[in-house]
Amino acid sequence: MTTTAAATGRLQPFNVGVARRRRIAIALLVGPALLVVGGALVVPAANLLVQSFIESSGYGQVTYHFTFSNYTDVLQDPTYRRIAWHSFGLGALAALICVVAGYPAAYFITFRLRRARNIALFLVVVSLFTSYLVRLYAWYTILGTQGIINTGLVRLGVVEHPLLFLIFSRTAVVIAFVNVFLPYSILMLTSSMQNIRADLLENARDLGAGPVRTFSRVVLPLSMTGAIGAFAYTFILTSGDYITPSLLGGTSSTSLASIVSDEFLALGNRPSGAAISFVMLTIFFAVYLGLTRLERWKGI
Amino acid sequence: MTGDGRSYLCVDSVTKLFDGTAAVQDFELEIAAGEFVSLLGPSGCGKTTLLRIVAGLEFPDTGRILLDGRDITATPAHKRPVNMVFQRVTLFPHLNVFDNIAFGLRLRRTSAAETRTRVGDALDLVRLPGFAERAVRTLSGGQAQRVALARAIVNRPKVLLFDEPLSALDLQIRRELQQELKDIHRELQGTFVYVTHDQEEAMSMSDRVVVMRGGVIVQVGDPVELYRSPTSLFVASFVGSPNVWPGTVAAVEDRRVVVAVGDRRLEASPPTAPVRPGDRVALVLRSEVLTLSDGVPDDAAPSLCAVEGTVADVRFVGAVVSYRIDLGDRRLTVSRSSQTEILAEGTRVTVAWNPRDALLLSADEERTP
Amino acid sequence: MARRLRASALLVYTILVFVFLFAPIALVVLFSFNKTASLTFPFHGFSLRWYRAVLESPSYRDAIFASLRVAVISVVVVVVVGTAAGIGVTRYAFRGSRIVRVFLFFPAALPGLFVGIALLSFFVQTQVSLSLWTVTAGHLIYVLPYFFLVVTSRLQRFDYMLEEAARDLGAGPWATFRRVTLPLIAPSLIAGALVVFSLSWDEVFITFFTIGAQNTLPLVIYSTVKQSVDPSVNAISTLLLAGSLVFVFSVRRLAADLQQ
Repeated sequence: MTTTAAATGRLQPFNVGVARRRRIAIALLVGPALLVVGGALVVPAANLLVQSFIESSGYGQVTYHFTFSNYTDVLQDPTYRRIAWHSFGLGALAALICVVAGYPAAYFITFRLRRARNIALFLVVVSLFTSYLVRLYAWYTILGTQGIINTGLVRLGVVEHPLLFLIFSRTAVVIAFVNVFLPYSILMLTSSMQNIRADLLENARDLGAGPVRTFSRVVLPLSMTGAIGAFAYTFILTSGDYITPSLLGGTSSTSLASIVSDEFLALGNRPSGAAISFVMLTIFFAVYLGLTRLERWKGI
Repeated sequence: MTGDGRSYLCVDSVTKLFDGTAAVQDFELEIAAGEFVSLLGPSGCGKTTLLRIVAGLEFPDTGRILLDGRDITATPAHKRPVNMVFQRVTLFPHLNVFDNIAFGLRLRRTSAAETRTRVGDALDLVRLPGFAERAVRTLSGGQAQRVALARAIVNRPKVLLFDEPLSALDLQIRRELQQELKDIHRELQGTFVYVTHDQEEAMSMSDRVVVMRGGVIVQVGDPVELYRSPTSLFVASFVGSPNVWPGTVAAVEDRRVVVAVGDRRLEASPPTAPVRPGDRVALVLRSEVLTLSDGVPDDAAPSLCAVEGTVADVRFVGAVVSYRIDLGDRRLTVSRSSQTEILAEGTRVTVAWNPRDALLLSADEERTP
Repeated sequence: MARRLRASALLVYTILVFVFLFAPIALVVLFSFNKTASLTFPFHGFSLRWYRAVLESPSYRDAIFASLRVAVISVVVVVVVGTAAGIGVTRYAFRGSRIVRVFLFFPAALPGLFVGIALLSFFVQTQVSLSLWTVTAGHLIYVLPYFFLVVTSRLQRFDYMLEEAARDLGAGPWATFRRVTLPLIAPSLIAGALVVFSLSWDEVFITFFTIGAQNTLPLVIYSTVKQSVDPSVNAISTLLLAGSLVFVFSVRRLAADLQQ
């Protein structure tokens, strides 16, 4: 059966044409999107990687001379290490609060609401799509020295002078982070809880499990995917944030991301900024991998 | 083998490979104008691929397709004067029945007045007058396939293709539509190519049946021919559900062949291909050619075309009664009209046949159940 | 009863969560209508003076138009490019189609910081001067994965046999797309376009690095807040908010229409 012309590679001309037309169609359809991602991301990212291995001669200038020093400087400098711990700690804290605070709300929306469930989820989506910057600004006006809380406290005579620690502090940054990322947590948790059948909960209760046991034995393990997803997502995006610390954190809360931003925009040391950003990406990737492994391990 | 004047649609040594395996191989088929031809075979035999090649939805690796004297091998689907009714419902869900049927006409810029008439005629033809404004999702499965048929017919294609259009429908609706399809064929005098894996469907509707297996033709013929003289065990078991006994040729005589089946010696008509004593063969006894008589004659000489046994099971299926006869070493299925007396289980019976009706085929190893 | 108590505790908690999520925004909207420049209670009465201030200020007006321009161009490019790619990977099972999918999804997993600095250093090195065009390039990368996700999840359920039926009935490739595929996937394309618009309208992380002389709306807010407290920021924030919320409500309407 392999003696046919096709099998021996002698295709008829029109059939070659058909195969070529198909290839051209695929190329025309997929090509532009690949060009967008390739041109606006892959090439710049590759360029950034190259930059992280060359020397900076300051003020935006670089010397094309291969070096590891951008990385060794970052990894050895205790200041960087302190700031790194600081920003990853802040991110982890915000992520943890989001997951923990999101759980009861997600549980309530999934299992206690029926007709109102879609409305509640819609509200979560609405808050997800309300401008990030507007929310930061809102907290700025609430927590600021001229803000609602401080003026209120002063007027009521609780304090004499505005409380400065409210704004330009780690507390302000974490509050804003939680405000921005809590909706994501709630959405991810509800979507993973949706797979838990309500009768499973009834069963657990019938078998005499109290609310705590039902939660820890049934709800928690079965919604772990959502919890881990929400934690990883919040952790990565908050640790990589430089806008929030710069608006609400003041000088007390310099983040790694702000340093990268400063290296690029203020100091003109792109190689150093590039190296830091690749170190950050590696850490994000490691955290993500570690968390997904943890989940698989827990699942066994 | 190319068009000889009689041939309207000609499939000329077509081969199509998928990932190096031939779905259709060196396929030759000529179809006359106005003919109703069925491609019959188990799933994966290449019948749908062949249909899609004729439609222009696939292109062959080698070979040609000729239609009405024109080589259309390289013509894409939308330029072929050929239309298809698909297996699944492929009506456009965003259009109503009228717009679905008018789809092809509008592409050809047919005038609004003519479109209206032709769509109306097509709806009448498929027995759905008054359905024009219906939304597609309100149609039943049978109605949807009728609309699909109207959508194809309205374009007056040179060949109408059917890819198992009734396979998803209930038995009763399927029978009804088979009859209608046959009537429509008679009315239109069109050329129909029909793919199916249902032998009854193929036999009851078509002028000619092409039995396929593994991408090649096993046998071509009109339904009677296929039924009466299948050339292979595959065809014999595909059209009908016969009793098949493997055996060896014991003696070849002028008008008859004696076959040894176990320790029985049975008589059959000589096959088309000559056989010699010692050849391994299969004796095919269709359940409906066997006659059943109550009781066993004690004094009769052992016959070469009768066996004795006990009724093991009785299945009443309306017009016919199907008996399973236990012969001791093997079993036999016999069906006869339910107008006759219905035998009880355990009755001793004699099963006889006319040697003319006992088919002898070469033992085919790849027998399909 | 303990169970009832727990249920109402959960209810109260969830309401508080929603208050926490929406109260800050509500305050911004409220004070955008305040008569005085005060950002705190008591509220002195309604006025539209801050909106007037925004619309009379050339820098705010320019920023609104700049944001609109970037968002509209992003939508147009991404809808065309993303729809084509979605059809490409779902209609044809070609070798590497899985890789193409992953490749088009993965930019969504990158922090905006990384995309921003990668683009910035690339533009600096190739001596492309920063402008709204460089901002648009960054937005394209940011929004393409989301649109691609929306459109492929629809096309995954699209019955390509319908395209074959159309071809069989005489429709060429373009007619097939225009008369069959497009009408059927249009609702998803519109939903995807609205997502793209709202993401682009709000984007600040990549814009921060790729912006030239002309600011977008979020960046104007950012720089104004960095400098001083200006009550007109409330008004401009409300406008920004309104712009991105049009999306969610349109999609909801769209979904309701589709269910009918």
